Amino acid sequence: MRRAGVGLIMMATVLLMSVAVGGVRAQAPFDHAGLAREALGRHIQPGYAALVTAAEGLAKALDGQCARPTEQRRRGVERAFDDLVTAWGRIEHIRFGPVTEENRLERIFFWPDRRGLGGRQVAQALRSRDPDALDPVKLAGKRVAIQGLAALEVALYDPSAKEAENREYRCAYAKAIAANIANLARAVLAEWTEPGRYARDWLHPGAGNPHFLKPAETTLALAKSLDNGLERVRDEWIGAPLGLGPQRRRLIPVLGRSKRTLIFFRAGLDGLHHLYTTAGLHKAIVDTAKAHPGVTVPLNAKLVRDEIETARNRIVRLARQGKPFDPDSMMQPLVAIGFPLKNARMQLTALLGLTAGLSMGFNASDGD
Amino acid sequence: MLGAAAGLLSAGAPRAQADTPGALYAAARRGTDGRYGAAIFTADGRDISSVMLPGRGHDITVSPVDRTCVVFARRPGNFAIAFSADRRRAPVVFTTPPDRHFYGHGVFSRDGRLLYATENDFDGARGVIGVYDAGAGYRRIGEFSSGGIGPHDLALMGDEPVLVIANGGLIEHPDFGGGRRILNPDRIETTLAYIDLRNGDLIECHDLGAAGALSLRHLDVARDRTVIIGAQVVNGPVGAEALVSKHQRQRRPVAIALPLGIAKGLAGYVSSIACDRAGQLVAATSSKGGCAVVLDVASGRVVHTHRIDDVSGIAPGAAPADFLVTAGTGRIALLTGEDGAPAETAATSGMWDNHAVFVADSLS
Repeated sequence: MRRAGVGLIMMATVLLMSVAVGGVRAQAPFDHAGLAREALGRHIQPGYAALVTAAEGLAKALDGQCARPTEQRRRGVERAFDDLVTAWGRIEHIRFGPVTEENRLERIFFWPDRRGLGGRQVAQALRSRDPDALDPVKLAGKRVAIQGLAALEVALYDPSAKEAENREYRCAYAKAIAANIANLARAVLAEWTEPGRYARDWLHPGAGNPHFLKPAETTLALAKSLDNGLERVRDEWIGAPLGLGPQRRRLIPVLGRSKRTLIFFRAGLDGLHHLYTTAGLHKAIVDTAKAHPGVTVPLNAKLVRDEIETARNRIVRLARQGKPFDPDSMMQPLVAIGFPLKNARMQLTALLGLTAGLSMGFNASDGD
Repeated sequence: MLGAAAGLLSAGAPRAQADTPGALYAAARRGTDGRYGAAIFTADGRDISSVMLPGRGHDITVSPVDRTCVVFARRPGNFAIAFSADRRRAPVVFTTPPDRHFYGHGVFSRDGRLLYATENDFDGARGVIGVYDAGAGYRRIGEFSSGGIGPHDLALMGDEPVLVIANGGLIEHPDFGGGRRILNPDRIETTLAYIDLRNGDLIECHDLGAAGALSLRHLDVARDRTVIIGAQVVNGPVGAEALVSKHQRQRRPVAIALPLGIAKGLAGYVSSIACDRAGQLVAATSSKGGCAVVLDVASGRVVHTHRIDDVSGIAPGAAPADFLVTAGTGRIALLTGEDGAPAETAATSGMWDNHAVFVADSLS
């Protein structure tokens, strides 16, 4: 079954490429404006709204746990932390627009922490019991690495013996971080929802628009989010801790300290799947089928979806075993997830070149 | 490629003959398998030598002595690989120190012994020129200031011991936005700097007097030592900015006034700049605009202009007035003859990256 599937993909890719290289570029009625609208209402706005809700939920759970800790409340904090990791994993692939302003992306989650910078700064904040770090507004003005999810993970899940006595401070600091993430997510959401702000530029490309000159540019932004997201899951999230990066060095897994690595992988793939399906990319591609007789556009579009689902289902199966991420025992199944992710990207690139006139990722869209 | 820049280079067009048979060029690229590499190739698209890269490459510089090619990582990468058309010579891989990264460009000293590379001292938010000893496995032996922030392209001023550098003016840090987010969007200070290579002193520095939205990026030096500089709009809407300027030492830089249609056609973005073999013509490409423009250096007059999908790399051809262009579509073409009409010489499967360079007239 898998073998047949791979054969089909190769045939389909060859077919698409031969058409694209042939220079026959039909006037593809790709609905860029419709896709921008759908993606905004079905994916981007709900994604950031869920992040606001999850961060507020964690702040609230911590409020109770900090005041009067109980086992039940501790479990509530665990669940709320799961929800926050999931909400961020589902929308972190949007790496354009308001989330890139004011370093919000790094302030929400400073990762990868290439030089252990964040860890050291958080340790310093905990040691010094800086009272300003307990105030979400003041915290927002501090170093980016000490105010987001990575710092929250240290505060909640790295209790060395010496710092056990520091419990109250850590709890209050964690609460301030959760509130800060909620504030950041709210600011991003406001740009994507309120009249006259970023959403207006998103929905009305044209001359004088500082972000999007042509309708195809919003599609390109979404396509790059999906393509880069699939690449990031494969190479940075999964490949790097397995030691498959260029330096062959095993890097620290994302959210490994809190044992949320697999939850985060799943959320990432859920979010990318949602971007491709619910947000409308899949439909926008399929709707151009009539402009490309002789090319099986719907079949190829379905293959992209199937490949993302294959990868996601494998992560779900791994996560169901109830064990934390382990590069040794999970090497084979994790490596196997890389293939469908790569196929999805190749397929997507060929499809968007044909149907939307986008040649992703190269000189025009990503110069220097 | 965005939009409808219909390329003249359709696959149905007859293939032109390559220029001097066997002339060699080099460029970085992405393969159909998504992996990055760099190759020395002929105009008709035959690989003579190639290397795989651990990440996306950018420009290549060629030793004037033994024609060794060094391909640099694109910012914020930190690797470089020296390789040559002679496949018996093993490639040499070298890197920046951990607190620096390359900007994608470098140049050999006239005697081929030293290699100068533009680098980012990212914690210090300042540009430096790293100095590497080509005879010692490209060991880094020192650095000096680039005279500005975000140095990008650089070149030697003929046979003078002087380096000219386009300081793009953008503060970037690998921890933010993958090292490609502009951290000083409101205060971009882009300059053209001249450095005395004997002591590393900044001997001349100019801004272009342009609005703060421009970043100087790529340059080349014509026969009469006129420096031609290509800029990019980094902020705000794109109009018909003067993106190509020229400069002669001890004078003010001068923007080259292009006809409105051509200026707009550059879409706020010059990808590459190269002078022809005689050093009298200069060509600028714009991948965003899908066009190549050839100008007379002395008069600034437009000699010819062409639309080519996702064109970016441009190198002097083997004969005066000729250019070789490479595109992200995999196509290679020569701009030759009086009208310089692009004659496609190859449609390769790889995606050619930002720059292309002339390596040698022939393999031997």
